[in-house]
Amino acid sequence: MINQIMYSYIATLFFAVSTNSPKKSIFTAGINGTIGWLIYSFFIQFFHTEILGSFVGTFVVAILSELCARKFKMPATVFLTSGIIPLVPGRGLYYTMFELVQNNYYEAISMGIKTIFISGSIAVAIAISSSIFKKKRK
Amino acid sequence: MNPNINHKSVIRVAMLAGQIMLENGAETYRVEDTMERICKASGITYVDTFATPTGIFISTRTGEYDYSTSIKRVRNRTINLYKIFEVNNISRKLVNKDIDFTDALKLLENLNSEKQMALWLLVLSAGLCSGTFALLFGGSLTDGIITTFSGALIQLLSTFTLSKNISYFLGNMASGAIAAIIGIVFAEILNQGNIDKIIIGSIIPLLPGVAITNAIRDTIHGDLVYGTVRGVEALLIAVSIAAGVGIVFKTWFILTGGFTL
Repeated sequence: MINQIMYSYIATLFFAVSTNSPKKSIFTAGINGTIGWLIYSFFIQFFHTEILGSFVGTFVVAILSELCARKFKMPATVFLTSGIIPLVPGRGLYYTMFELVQNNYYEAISMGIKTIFISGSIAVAIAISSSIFKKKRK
Repeated sequence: MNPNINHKSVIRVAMLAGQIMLENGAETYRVEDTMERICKASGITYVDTFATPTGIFISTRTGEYDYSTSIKRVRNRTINLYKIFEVNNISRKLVNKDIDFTDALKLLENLNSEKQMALWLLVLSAGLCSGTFALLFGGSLTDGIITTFSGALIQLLSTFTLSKNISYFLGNMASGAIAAIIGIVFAEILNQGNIDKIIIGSIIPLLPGVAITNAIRDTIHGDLVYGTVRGVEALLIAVSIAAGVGIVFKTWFILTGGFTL
């Protein structure tokens, strides 16, 4: 648990540094990433669902990013891109490819569909929070 | 319109602001919005802006028939959140009349010519990011060290391909291939670490998180064209990484007949 918190915080922090985020935002972005990851892990542990976990995790991260954006007077993307990075389905992409090259098409397809659904749930979560916080266009 | 401000210089400031934002990975609706605010701050009442991921158009009118239009083609795109934030700041100051247009132009030009960031810092942070992800996904310390090395190498490669104007499809494919080669060399040949942790950690920073985020945010703000373009971009990035990993895996599979996992 402590390890998970530490690793997800450090990983998000370094990702924020590598995308050249403004200095003031880096530590907050790290906290965002940790919160997202913990929610995701919680759902996997207790409900065994990666897709719902990604959705709720991303949704919370996106809401927090919008709130941080208003507090720090920075674009929400600054917090959002780093915050969702632990939830991006790199594992799914890898295992899809891994099964595919071994001609295990059945596993490849089921893994691939899962990956697509996880990406989709991340997308929908961002869509909902962006709609809530959408600014009126003049 | 305020007579002290030159109409053309306003367009120049707005255009430069838009260009910097778009080149560094801002959402297109934000680009349009910022350019419009800058023009309105000068007192120009009729402004229309149109931004796509590959170009910007801006058109203003003063008086009855005095139209000015400017087009800027944008070719290079990277991710640099700091520059987006800075342009945002400058435009906010401009709107609040804290600075005038001459100052704004100077600030923007300085910002535009600013270097990306120190290469060692970029490579180091990307490497450590990959390494920590390997640990987060349950890897051992050995995995973490190997992944830090391969993540740094991949960042070095993608900086290189970007500076040489090589298409990002090819660049990402090469990055995926390098991740797979390092994974195979260490895990299969040298028997150090787990191949899946190493490769997943290495490719995480490359995955199109920014492209997906921008695609959705643009779509939500009613910019369907850009949303689609960014969505295709995200898909292409993911496919090219997977292709790079897949080619190396398939070659290894054919050569040795399987993985020892």
